[in-house]
Amino acid sequence: MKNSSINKLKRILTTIVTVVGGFFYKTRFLWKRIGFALVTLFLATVFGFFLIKLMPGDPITMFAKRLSDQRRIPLDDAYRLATLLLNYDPNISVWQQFVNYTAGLLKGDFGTSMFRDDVTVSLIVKDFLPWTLFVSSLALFVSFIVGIFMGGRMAYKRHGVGNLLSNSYIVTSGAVPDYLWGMILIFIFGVTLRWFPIQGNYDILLEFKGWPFILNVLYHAFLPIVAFSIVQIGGWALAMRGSAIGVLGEDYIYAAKARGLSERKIISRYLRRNSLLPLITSLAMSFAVLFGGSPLMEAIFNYPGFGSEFSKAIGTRDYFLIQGLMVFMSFVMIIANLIADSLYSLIDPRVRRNNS
Amino acid sequence: MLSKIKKTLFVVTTALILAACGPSTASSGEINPDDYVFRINKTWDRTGIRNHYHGGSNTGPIEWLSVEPLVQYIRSTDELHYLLAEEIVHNEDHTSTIKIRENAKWHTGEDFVADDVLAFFHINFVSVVNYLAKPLEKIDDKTVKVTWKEWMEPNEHVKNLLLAETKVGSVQYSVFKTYIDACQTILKSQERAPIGYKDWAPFGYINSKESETLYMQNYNSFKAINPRTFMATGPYKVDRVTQNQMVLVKNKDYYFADNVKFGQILAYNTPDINGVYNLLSTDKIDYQDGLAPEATLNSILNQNKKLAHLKMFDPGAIGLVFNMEKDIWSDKVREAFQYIFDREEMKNSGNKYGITSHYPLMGMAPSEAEAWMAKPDFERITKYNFDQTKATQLLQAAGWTKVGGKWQVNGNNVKLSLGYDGGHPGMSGVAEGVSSTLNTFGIELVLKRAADFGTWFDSAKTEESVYDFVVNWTDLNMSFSYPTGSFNYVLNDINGPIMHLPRFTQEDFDNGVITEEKLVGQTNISLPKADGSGDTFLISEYLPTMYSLTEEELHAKLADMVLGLATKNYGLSFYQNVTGSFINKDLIANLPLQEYIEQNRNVTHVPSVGSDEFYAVARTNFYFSQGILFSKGYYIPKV
Repeated sequence: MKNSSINKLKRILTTIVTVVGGFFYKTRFLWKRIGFALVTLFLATVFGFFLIKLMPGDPITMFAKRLSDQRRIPLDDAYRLATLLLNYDPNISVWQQFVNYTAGLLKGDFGTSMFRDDVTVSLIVKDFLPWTLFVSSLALFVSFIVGIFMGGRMAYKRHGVGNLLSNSYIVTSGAVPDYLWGMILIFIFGVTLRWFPIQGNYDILLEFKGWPFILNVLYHAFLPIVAFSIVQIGGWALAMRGSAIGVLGEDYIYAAKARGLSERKIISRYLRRNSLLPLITSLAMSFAVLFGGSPLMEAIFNYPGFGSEFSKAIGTRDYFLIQGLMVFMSFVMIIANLIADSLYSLIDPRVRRNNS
Repeated sequence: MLSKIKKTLFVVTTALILAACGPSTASSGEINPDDYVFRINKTWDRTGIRNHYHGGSNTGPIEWLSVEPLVQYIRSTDELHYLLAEEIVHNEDHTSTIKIRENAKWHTGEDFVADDVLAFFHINFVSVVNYLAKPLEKIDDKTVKVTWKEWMEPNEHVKNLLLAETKVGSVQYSVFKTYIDACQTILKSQERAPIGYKDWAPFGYINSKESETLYMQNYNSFKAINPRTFMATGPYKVDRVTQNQMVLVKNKDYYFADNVKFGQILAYNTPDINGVYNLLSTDKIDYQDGLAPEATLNSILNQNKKLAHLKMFDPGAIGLVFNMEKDIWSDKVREAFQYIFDREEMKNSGNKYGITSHYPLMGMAPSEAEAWMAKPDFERITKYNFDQTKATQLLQAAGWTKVGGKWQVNGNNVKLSLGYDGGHPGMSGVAEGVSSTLNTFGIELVLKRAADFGTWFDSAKTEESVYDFVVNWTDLNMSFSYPTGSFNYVLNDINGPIMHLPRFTQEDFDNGVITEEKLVGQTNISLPKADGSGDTFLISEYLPTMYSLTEEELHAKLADMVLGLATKNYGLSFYQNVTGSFINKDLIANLPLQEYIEQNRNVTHVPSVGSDEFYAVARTNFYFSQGILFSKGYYIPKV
C-alpha cells in the first residue's frame, strides 16, 4: 500500500515535470527571446545613463541663468537659489548615482526631474503620451489606409498618369522632412488662410466635455495629422506596391481575371487583402515607434506631446528625466519587439524551428 | 463583420485616448465674455504649476501678474512704484519702516500683514536684504521695521531697489507657519555675528554647515507644499491652466482694482520663437517683448495691421570679450583689436536698431555709464574709431608680421577661434560679421557655434578653453540698473570666468599678499585711479562697498572702475542693445510715441536716456514693468 502510494506520487511528479518541462522545451524560443530582451534592457539602461553624462552644458548654471532672467535677480543670487531648488547633488559620484537609479528602476521608478520633485517620468508618460499617441496613431491610420490604396493601384496599373503622379508624390513627400511639411501647412492654412489653429491641442475657453470638446481637439490635431501623414503615405504605398507586385503573379489573380471580374473587385478582394499581410507586422512595429513622438513636429505645432517634453528635458539638461524617458522608450521598443517576434514564432512554426 | 469590429475598435480607441487627454487644471471660475481680454505669450511648465511662487515651477505670467513685491522697479529706468508697501521710510537711525497698504489682501481674501513680510525674508534666507539687515521686527500688523547693519548699510536708492527686487507677496505666514517657525528656530540657534562682521550672516547670525543643511531640508519641505489656490496678492487671479493656455481673471478685491481695466488675461505657452511670430501675425496675441530680424518684424507688421513696434534701450552692450589666459592677447594686440572693426557694420550684423558703441569693455553699458557717472568722467572714456592702419601699426609693434596677406606671429599664421551662443540671433550675426572682417584683414578665424548658453558658457569658462575670444554681452545689468549689477556680471558672474582673470589664491592669503581670507577666489586685478595720482586700487575691495556709497563717493568710484577697466581693453563693445515690444495699438488707448506710430508702425526712434519718452516707453514694456502695466493703469483698452 505504501509502495503503491509512493509510486503514484512518483508518477504524478513525473507527469508534472514532463508537462512543465515539455512546456518550457516547446516554448524555449520564447524564453530565449525574453532573456535577450532583459539583456538589451540592461544595456539600454547603462548606455542611457552614461551617455547623458557626456552631454556638454552645466545644468545648474543653465538653471541659474534662467532664474536670473525670469526673476531679474543677479546671477550669483540665482545660482544660490538654484542649488536650493535643484533635486540634484553634483557631489554624489556617478557610480552612486547609477546604483540609486537602477535601484529606483527595479522599484518601478523611472526617475524624477532634477528641477522639480513633483515631475516624474510617470507623470510625463501619463500627461503627454496620450496626446502623442492620439495624433500619431491617427496619422498612422490615415497614412496606412491611403498608402495601401495608392500602392495597390500602383502595382496593378504600372503605367499611366496615375502612376506617374503617385511616384512624383512619393519622391517629393519623402524628400522633404516632416517638420518642413508642418511649417508649410502652418504657413498656408494657419497663417495665410487662417483656416486651422497654428498651435496647441484645444481651446481653453471651451468646457472640457462632450462633442464640442472632441471636435475642437480634432480641429487642433488636423494639421499635425496631415503633416505626419504626408510623409508616411509614401512609405506605405511603396511597401504595398512591392507586396502587391508579388501577389499579382499568383494563380488566383489570373483566375479572377479569367472569370471576368471587374478591376475594382480584383484589386479590393484579391490583390489588396493578400498583399496586406506582410504590412501588418510593419504596422505593429510602427505603432511602437509612435511612443517616442516627434519632438520637432510637436515643437512646430506646439503640441503637448511626449517628444516635445523629451526634447525640453534635453534642452535643460534634466539628466534624470532624460535617462528615465530614454529607458522608458527603450522598454516600449524592446517589449514591442519581443511581442512581435514571439507572435511571429507562434504563428509560423518555421520561424520557431529556426530559432530553436 | 470584421470591418465593423475594426471600425468599432477605432472609435473606442480614439475615445479612450481623448478621455485620457484631459485638462491639467480644472476651471474654477466663470469667464465673462464682455470683459476686455489682453492676450500674451509667456511660457510656463507644461508639467503643471505648484500653487506658490517658491514651488520650483516656472509659473509664466502668474509671476508677473499675480505675485507682487513691496515696491516694483521698472527695468532700465529704475522708476519705483509702491505696491504692497504704501510707503517705506528710511530713518536716521539705520532703520527703514515699511508701511503695508491697509487694503492689501491675499487672493483668498485674508489680509496681507507684517507676519507675511517677515515670513518671506525668513524662508528666503539667501536674499541680499537678509545679508545686509539685522533681525526684522514687526511693529504692528501693518508695519515692519528693518534695521540695517550700520557697517554695511546701503544708500537710500539701493535700499529701495533691494526691497523692490523681492516678490514679498508670495509667502502667507498662516499657511506656511510650520516652515517659517522652523526657520526662526534654526536662525536663533546660530552664533551671533560680531559687530563689523561682513561675511554671509543673514540677520546677523552666522550660518554653520549644520544649520544650512537644516535650512535646506526645511526649504525643500516648504517648496513641496501645494496650496489649493495660487498664493498671491496681485491684480490677476489664476482661473484655469492647461498645457498650452492659461486664463487669469481680474482680482476684484485688489487695492488698485480701479486701475485694472482688463477683465482677463489669456496667455499662450509657446516656447518656439517662430510660433510666437505666428501668434502675432495671426492676431492671437496683443503683446510680445523683443526684436525680430528686420524682415520678420516688417512681415509681422504687414500681416497684422493692429500691431506697432516700439523700441527702447536695453541695459547691455554686445561685443567681443578676450580670453586673457591666451598669450596672444598682449596689451598692444588688445588695443589693435579696438581699431580693426567698423563698429557700425558690426552693429548692423547683430541688431540694426542698436546704438553703435565705440567704447572698450568698461563694466557698464554706455547708456548706464552716461546715466550714473559724472559727465566729465564719462567724457574721459576713450572712444575707438575704425582705423585699420592704426591697428596694423599696433600689431607690428606687438611683433606681428604680415606675409602674403596673412598675419603671422613667430613665423606662424595667426589662427583664432571665436565662440558664441548660437541660440542668440544678435550674437550669431556679430560672429559672422567678425569672421568676415578678420578674414579680410588677414587673421584666420574659426567660428565655434554652441547650441545654447549653457554649452557655450561651459566651454568658455573652462581652463584652456578652445575659445580665444567670444561674442557676448560685454557689459550687462541683469536686475536693477545700479552699477554693482553690471560690474558683477563683467568681473564675477559671466565675463570674469570667460576672461580668465587672475584670482587670489589661498597661498596669497597664507603668504600675506592679501590680509582678508574672504578675498580668496576674488579677482586679482589692480586698476589705476582716475585722479591721475598714479595710485592703484583692487577691484575686489571696491565692489562690496558700492551699495553703501553717497552720490559723490559713487561718482569717484565709478570713475575709477570704468576708466580703469577701459584702459585694460579686455574687450570691445560693438553696440548698446536696443530691445522692443510688439503692442496692439488698436487695443491700447494710451500708448506713447503716437506721432511716430502714425508715420510708421515700426517705430525706429529710440528715446534718449532720462527723457520723458524713455520713461513712458519703458512703462509699456511688459518685461520691464510686469504687473505695473495693469495695476497702475498704463494699459487702458480703447473703447
